[in-house]
Amino acid sequence: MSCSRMQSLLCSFIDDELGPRDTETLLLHLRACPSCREELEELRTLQQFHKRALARKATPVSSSAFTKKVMAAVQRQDAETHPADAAGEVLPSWRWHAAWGAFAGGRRWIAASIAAAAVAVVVVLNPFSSPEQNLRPVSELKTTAAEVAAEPDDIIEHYLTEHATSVAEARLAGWVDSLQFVSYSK
Amino acid sequence: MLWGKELGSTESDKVLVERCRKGDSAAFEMLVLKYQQNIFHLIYHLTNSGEHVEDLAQDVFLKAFKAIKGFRGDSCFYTWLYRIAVNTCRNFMKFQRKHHIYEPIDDNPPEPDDMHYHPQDPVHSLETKELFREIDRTISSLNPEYRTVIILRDIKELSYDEIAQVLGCPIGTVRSRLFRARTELKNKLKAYLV
Repeated sequence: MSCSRMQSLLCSFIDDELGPRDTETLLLHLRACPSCREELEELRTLQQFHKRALARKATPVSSSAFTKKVMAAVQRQDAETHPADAAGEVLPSWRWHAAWGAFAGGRRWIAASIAAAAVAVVVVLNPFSSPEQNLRPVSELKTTAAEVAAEPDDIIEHYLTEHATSVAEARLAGWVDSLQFVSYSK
Repeated sequence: MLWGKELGSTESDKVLVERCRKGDSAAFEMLVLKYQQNIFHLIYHLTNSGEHVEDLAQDVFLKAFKAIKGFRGDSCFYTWLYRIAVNTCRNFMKFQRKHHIYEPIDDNPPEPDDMHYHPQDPVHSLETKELFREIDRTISSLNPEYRTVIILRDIKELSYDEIAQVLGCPIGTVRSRLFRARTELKNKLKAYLV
């Protein structure tokens, strides 16, 4: 058996997780191989040191205060509907903190980009932004040509009112020409 | 603090879990009291930061409460709980990386409880202290998969089979990750072990 194969068994041996057959093979090899014995000792020493190095307490938190906090959250979860994320799960609390941190912290460009995107959405959805789409033929405003003919000015005003636009605003937005949709020949 | 099997009355855990599944929140409170320090400790080492330990621990227990009705008892309760903790920490660190939130590594951790001081040999004490710090830094620099198996084995003292259950991977994967993690640690710390 090669040393590299034997050395791959050393961790399991130290952890007492090696099967009986592999253990026997390894022990036989170790008797005859000083370099693998040295490797074993190094691994054992390292493991002892790093167990001790890592045996630290976490940030102390009062046991009863934490338990109360968890149980209060459990009761809320039971009793209330929480706002959900897109996947329908409750967002963990650290994500709220972290999201706020991303806005308030060093990456201000994230907040700026999102604000710019929000403005762009408003502009796109603004009904004034594409007047042609909002225009309807006169025939939809009145049912008969006669009615159209009877009150032409009112029709225009009615149209503009429907779209919450004043003539002044329409003129300002350059839609005056578009009003030909509502013009008709008498 | 008790680890893994020492926490063991898994029988009492079974009783408490059964009561939880029937809606007994007092039973769940008992489980929170029993496992909270363990979960804090696990989260602290997995994230290498004390800052979010309490928040993450709260999330772990809330997820456990939500999912406990579906817990079939195929594994011990604590390995199931550790699985939730490992996944929660993994998601947290992924979130941090995605949003470029980098927190300083805890470079001055609290001193180990059983620091090996030699009153007659302060130099030795200093060297040991420096070694522990270097070990801590080196473990923090391991890739997350390797760091997780080291923590679950060498701190939580879970068996390979339990680690496989926590990570949801075959036992052979646990063996090979542990071997590679320890080899990497040994190579990086060789100078300190001479």
